[in-house]
Amino acid sequence: MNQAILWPVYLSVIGAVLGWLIPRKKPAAFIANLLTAFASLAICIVAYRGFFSELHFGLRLFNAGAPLNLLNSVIFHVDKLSAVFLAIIGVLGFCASIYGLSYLGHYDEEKLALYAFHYPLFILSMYLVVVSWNLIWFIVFWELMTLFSQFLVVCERSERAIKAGYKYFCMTKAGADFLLLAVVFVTLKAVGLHADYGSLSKLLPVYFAEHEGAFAAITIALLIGACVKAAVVPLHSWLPDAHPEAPSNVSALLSGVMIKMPIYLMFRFFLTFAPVSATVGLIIMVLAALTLLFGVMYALIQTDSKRLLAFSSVEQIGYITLGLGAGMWLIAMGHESLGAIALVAALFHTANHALYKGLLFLVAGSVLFRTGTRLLDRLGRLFSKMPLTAVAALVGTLSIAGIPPLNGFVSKWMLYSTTLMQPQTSLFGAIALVVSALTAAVFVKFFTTIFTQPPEKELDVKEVPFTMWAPQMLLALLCITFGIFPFLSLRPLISTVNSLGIALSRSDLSVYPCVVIPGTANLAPIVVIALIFIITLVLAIAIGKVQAKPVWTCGNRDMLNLRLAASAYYQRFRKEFGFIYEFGTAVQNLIEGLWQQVRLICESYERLSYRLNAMLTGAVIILLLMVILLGGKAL
Amino acid sequence: MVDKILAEYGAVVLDRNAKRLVVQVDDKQLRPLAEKLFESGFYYANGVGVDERGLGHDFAMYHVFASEKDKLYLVVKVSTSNLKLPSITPVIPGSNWAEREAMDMLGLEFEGHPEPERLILPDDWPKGVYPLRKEFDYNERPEFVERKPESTPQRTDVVQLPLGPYHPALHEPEYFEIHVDGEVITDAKYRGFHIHRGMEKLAEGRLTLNQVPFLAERICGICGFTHSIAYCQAVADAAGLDWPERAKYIGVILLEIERLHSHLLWVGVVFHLLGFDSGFMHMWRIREKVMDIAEALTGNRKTYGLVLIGGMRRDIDESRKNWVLKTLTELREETERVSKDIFGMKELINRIKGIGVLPKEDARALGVLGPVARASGIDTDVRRDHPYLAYDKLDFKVPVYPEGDVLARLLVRYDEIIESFRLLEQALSEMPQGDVMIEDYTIPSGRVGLGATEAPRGEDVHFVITGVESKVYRWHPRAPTYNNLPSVPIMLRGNNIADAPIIIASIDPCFSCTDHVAIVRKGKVIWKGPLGEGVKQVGR
Amino acid sequence: MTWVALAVNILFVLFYAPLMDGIERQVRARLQCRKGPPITQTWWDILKLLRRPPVAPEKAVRPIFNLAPLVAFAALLTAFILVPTLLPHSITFWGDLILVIYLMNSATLALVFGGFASQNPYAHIGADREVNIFLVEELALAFVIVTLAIVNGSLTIEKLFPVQLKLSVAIALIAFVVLVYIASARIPFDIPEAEPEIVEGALIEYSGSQLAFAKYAIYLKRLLLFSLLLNFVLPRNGVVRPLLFVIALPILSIIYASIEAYCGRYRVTEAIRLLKRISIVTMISWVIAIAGW
Repeated sequence: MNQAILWPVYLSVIGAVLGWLIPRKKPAAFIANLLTAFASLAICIVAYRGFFSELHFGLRLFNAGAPLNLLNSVIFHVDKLSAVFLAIIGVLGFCASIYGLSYLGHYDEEKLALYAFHYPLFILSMYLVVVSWNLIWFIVFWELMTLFSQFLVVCERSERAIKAGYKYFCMTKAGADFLLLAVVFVTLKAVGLHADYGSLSKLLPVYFAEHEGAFAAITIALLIGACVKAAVVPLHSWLPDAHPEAPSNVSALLSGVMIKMPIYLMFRFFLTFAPVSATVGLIIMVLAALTLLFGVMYALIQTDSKRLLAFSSVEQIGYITLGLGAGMWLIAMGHESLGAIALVAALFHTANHALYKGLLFLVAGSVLFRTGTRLLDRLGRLFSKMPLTAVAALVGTLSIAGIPPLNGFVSKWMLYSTTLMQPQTSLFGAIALVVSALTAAVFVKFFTTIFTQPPEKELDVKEVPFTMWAPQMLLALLCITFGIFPFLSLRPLISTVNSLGIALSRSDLSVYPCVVIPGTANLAPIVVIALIFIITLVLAIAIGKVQAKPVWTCGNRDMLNLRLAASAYYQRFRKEFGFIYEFGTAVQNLIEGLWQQVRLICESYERLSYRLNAMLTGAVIILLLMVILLGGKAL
Repeated sequence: MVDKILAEYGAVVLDRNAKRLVVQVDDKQLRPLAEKLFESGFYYANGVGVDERGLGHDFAMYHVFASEKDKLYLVVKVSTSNLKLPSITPVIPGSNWAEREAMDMLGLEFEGHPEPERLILPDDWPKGVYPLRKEFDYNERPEFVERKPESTPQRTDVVQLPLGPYHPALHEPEYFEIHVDGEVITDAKYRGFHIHRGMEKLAEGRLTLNQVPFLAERICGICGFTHSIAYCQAVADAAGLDWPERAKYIGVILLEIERLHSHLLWVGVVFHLLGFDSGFMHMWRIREKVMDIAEALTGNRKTYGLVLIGGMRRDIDESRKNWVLKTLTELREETERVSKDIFGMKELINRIKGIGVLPKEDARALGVLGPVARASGIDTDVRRDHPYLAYDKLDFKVPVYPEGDVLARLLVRYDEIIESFRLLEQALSEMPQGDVMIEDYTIPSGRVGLGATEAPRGEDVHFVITGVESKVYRWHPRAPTYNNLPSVPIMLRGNNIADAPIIIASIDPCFSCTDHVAIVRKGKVIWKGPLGEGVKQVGR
Repeated sequence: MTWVALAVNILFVLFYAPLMDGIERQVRARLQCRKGPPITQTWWDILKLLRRPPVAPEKAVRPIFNLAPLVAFAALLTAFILVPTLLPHSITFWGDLILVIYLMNSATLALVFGGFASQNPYAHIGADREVNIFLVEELALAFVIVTLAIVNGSLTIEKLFPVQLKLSVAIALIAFVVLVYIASARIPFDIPEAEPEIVEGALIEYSGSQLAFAKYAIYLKRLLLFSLLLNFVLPRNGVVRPLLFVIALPILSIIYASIEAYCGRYRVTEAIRLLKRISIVTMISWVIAIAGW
């Protein structure tokens, strides 16, 4: 049965090849999407199996000497942690691929050329990143993932897209180089050319226990690499440019799945390969708090639907990393059970974010598909025109805003319940609470500007085709299901955390029928939803039919713009808390200034290099100086 | 000084007395003359278009200028045979509405007017029908035309918030279109005259000279009395009448009572608009006593139905006078006490400080009047500058504040309340004995008369041309709000939407308050009477 | 037993919430030298509104517009299953303080959504103001919750009602008293519903029974905030509790209504600035709580 690991590989490779070979690109993209959907289903199957038994598949590529031996054996392995992420890839990949069947119809032929080939490979590379059981191959797949996704970002070939893609590629490549350094260091110095995870988890903790300096260096390199890819705040600037430019189903995958890959890496590395460290946990928490705050504050000022979602992705990564950091800190400080719950919350939020952010990107895509614009000010009152999309969007909005009892609330609630209990982590919990309200504000704006506010001029559109609304509905349903029945996802996640060697028993966290952290917090989502639903329903029936009359505008019948512009939302609040934006702008200016200086130096160096004589003379002088100095020292 | 200017532009003096001067100029000289007058300190007080064909002339436009410095009203007449006249709006913005009104009502054309659009007539009024021409009957009803929906270009960056015509913060139908960016007002447009009642036509068409005061006081529910006084002053001016001294004093007393109740009401409304309902209630509680005084003096809770061309219809007897003096003393103490408490509320004062600022230059150009002008640093008051009734014999101060914000307007009105108390006490105690009415007088026809009073909200100017058979040929009242409203969009710009109602209210729009209370129990009216009594009745 | 007590609580809440508004109206009237309406007036108002048919704007997003006040009402009523009122009984294992706060926020957001769905520019501005204030309110509230959580080591209703009184908790509770005042949208913080400016804001288009439920939801929210405040300090058990509770509620009403009678409305900016200052107070309470006092 371990062969099952290879099914997604076959399917997506066939998809990519067909997408490349078929000369007419619309059918090519269609087939690529279809096969990727099947590949995603296969990934789901792999993930499902992986929860119950570990899957393992080894492959020897060639026979070679010792240095290349590292690359020789490709080992695919699915354990519970990978299964969680595989499930995310599978579900969202499936939805995004099905969605893509119709969605890409409105693209030109030439623009689809890049898409048809790279889209299956993008999903495949993410899959391989997660199933790879070898650090060297991991980094290879990681780089491939960046490469393929970069092609998808620029697929529209507009100037903006190409700039964004370039920025994205440069930043994530630079980040990946730090990762590469760390990997090379680990394989060469620490574990002596053993790169498979099995031996790493045995050897590395022992090595790190002895070499603290090495641990610090590797951790920093790894954090930088992972944070760039996950768009943690000081290193996030590529994401809001890159994600909106990709086709919407790819944006859904980029935001929903790809930025979770570094989370997987961090879980893998910091919890199994290295001793759980309080310092690292604290660093991650601080970064998470920054991410939360800046992500949401910048999401608050966006007027472009996909850009708003992209900034919100930055913020949501903050929640996930907060859970991870808090979990590590709490475990290291001896609060094992609280820490484990925080880790479960982080994993749960990862899954939840994938569901609702994927959903919201698909919604933004549907709106773009029908109206041709992403600008919130050009949209309005689409609720009656696109009711299914609107309902799905409402579910996504309420989930991400953390309205009980949807899934976003449950995972956030778990985060609060763990972080608020310890004085040292409580600040981060408080920030998370505040940011949650801000998220709600962001998505009130997102939803109301698109679906309820009066439009600038009446938009004559209809509902998107079945293959587009069905994935949205599926994701919305999953959001509701995981919110009402959190045990469905919490049980596997608890066993996942247990499999990482962190004990979490039923007495620490019971999930059925209510989620209870004994003595600390408890929550019964089903009861809440049932009560609200029943009361509302009874009242709605009791009220009955509602008459319709024209809207009251003080007796005036002129054609006025009654629309609150997207840029006008929460103006007072933003003004009163403007120092956050000022700080952000100051940092941006600083970085830009530094970059200008670096460029100047590089340019002057380049100019100098044209003057060969001067260069040679200079080099000779420097050499002479060095010889004299060194010689003098030797004497 | 004025004579020199007038001579320079070839003006012919038609009539003059100590307070006003009527001249006629050639239409080519009008604009330079107006510019010169504006530069030398005159503001635009009133503009009246007249269909003079019935007097044997053509159409004419009377521009009324006023100057505090020269203590003079200057009526400049220009005639036209072809309905075309030069516009003076480019040199005096304050004449904008007056000229547009003449366009609407008489079909005059003003060449060079910056916005020659309809002002008064509704959109469904047919074109080419001019209600104030003499051939148009007062009871004629033209066919309405289909109203075209306005197709102004839509803006997306701002919300075009309709404030009115029916808005709870506005007690009269006015329409402000406020452009709001978030919470900040970027622009405002005004459209009014939703309840133009055709009073001028009615007066010209079917009332006699002595009936008009009763119509004039119904122009406004708050400052009605000052309108009837202004009208009677205008007719008296035209006929050269002089009232008995006692009537003049009674007029002052009633005018000041009107000012008192109007200002107290306004202060209450301001507090209500600020969400401070307790202040509103207390101010109105005090005001209730002013209404009692009015009732004691006139038989009406409002000072209505008391004035005729010849003087007052009712005298004030000694016992009433003493009771009023006593009540006034109590009232003054109570006002000062409550006001001291309220002015001590820092948050409340901060709320109105620095909002709705009207700079002095704008105020002057638009001819802004009364407390609004005084709060913008313009030292103007008809009572002092163009004394009428007995004001020249009484002592009072004219408060002036230079800030130009809503707080300044509040302070000006508060100071005026205190001055009114002083004026009332002086007038009541110094009132001479004698008649209150002259009965035998004749009113020549075709004479121009001008009457001006200082209403609670500013200068009222009534323009009268007397007609035959003791009728008015032309009567044009100009209420202060007519000059003050165009300044509101200037005040609104850059302010918060939260401050819009208070800024609009700061020029003191008015609403009728002459109701009596009826107590209804089990569906039956069981008692009717004044409010104060009614409250006691309910308490029983 | 619990279920019966719960039913009593819910009935008490449903009955008392409008009555409380009646009491506050009476208090304000007395301070303004008015006779004022009888304290049952709010009840009559609600009953009258319930009999009237609701009207929605033609172009409004009907599902959201129609359901918003009902959802707000339902969410707040659900919160009363967790928060004990008259009797100290509640179903504590169904939720904790976070859930109560979030149910309250849900009600606020429901009305915000309703406002935005109504197509009326005043409603948009009102809803926008509501969120503006809600955001800063949350900033202050977050640190109150943190302080309580640290000191009590728990978020559950059993452990928080009543709280352990320490210096930090006392400061947090004082800030909470102010927050209760602000969150219940009393003058000067009734900015989202400012009648003279934006004509009841988000509620402008509601009428009839829908308006009744929207208003009812607002009264319930006020009562919920009072109940939270009282639960933090009143003893949980004993016969005196219902007595204390019944006495304390009108006293709170009188205090809050008296303050309300002597204030003018704030602008949004002023309210935000004040809330920022309160947030600093709550942050201080958090710091003290960390120090262990």
